[in-house]
Amino acid sequence: MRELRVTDDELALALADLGTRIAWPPVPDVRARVLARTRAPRRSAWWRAFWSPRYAFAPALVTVALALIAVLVFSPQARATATDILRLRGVEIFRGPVPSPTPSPSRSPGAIQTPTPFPSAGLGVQVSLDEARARAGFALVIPTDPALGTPDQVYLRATPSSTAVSFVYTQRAGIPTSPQAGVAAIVTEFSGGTVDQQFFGKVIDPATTVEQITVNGQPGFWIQGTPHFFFYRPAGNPGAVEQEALRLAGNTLIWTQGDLLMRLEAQVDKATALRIAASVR
Amino acid sequence: MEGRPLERPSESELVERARRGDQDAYGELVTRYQALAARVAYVITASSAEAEDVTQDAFVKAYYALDRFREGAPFRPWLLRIVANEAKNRKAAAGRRPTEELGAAADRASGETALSPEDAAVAGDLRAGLLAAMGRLREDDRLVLSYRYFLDLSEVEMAATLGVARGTVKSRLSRAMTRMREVYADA
Repeated sequence: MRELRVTDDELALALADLGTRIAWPPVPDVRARVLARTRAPRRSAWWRAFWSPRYAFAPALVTVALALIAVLVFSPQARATATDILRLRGVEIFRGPVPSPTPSPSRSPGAIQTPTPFPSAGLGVQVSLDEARARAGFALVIPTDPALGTPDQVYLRATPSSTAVSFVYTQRAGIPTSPQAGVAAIVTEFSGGTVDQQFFGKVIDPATTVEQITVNGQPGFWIQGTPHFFFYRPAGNPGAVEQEALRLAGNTLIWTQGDLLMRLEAQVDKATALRIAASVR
Repeated sequence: MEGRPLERPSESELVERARRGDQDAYGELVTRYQALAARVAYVITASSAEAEDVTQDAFVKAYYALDRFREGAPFRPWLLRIVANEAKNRKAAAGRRPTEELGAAADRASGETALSPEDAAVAGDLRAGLLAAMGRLREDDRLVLSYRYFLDLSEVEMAATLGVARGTVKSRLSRAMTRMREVYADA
């Protein structure tokens, strides 16, 4: 055991000194390559006005814009465009199995409709439970309800404004396996963030119902119906809105637990979902 | 001051020209900031090849996002936020892969002549220990220390690259310092 017998100021100096000696990789010269890609004129920007900080959340406008985008996203043809739009502002959009219309014959071999495998891509990197604990940056909580038991897979995803850890339960007795995702349940916890009801209620599909509920004494939402998106404001960046898509064509419970925003996706009824939520610790 | 043709154009002037589509002006911004962008990307991805790709992509994205750049705002934090987002996304997409560890140059012959051989050895040990500890720190602690001490980013730039509010930077930094002591001691 050795200790750093230096004051914080000395430690700062030592680190700064180390910083002057770092053997950085050679600086790449990307100028020509960048300019070769910026010749195309910028696209017209009427919609960007909605996202501009100058219009700092004129709420009605934003809600309309988001609703429009959500509609676009539900239409597979428009999805790529919508993804572009959202990415430009750094808002992440999920590219997973939004319910597809009946598979249409396709000429492009890349677009053949196959049963969707579990869309781990949107969940981040697969890690072990220990790794997730070490890297999440917050104390993980996990359902203890025997209906779920131990998760089969753990994923970690860091966005600039929050970290999400997802537990995936592949097959569970009594819980139907999602035809979209091929798994029974996904529990995701997001560091920080609050659900924004204003966005929330407006952008979902008409076939979906949203009910405000209380979970462990804290506010939450129970969503029943078809896949949808939800939006939340990440902690530390209240001007931003993050959005998440529901991965399973199942029901969803969203609630807050301490500083975490929690989400359970599974084809279970409300009572079971609440029981599972209550078992999280 | 007017009439000083040799003076480099200011950052805001370049940004304004680039917004209007001036490729040379944007090229100048790339030249000015690519080293910093590449290092931020390298700190996040720990891969020089990926850092280079990230740098290129981030500058392209930044160009097409210039419409949304707030006039008169500092360019560096805005750019670094895009770089950091791009690097994090790419890192997440790449999953686990071999990473490169930061290395540091040994003592410079000059500049430390004031140190006795013993003191120089102590300083060298401390540096080696700190560098090794950096590699064992948790990601967010490693990033905050790298940004502050290796890249000398301002608080606003750190907030942008970390994706946190400015007020959070200090507490992150102080937490990282505490962890650095713990990790150092655990070696």
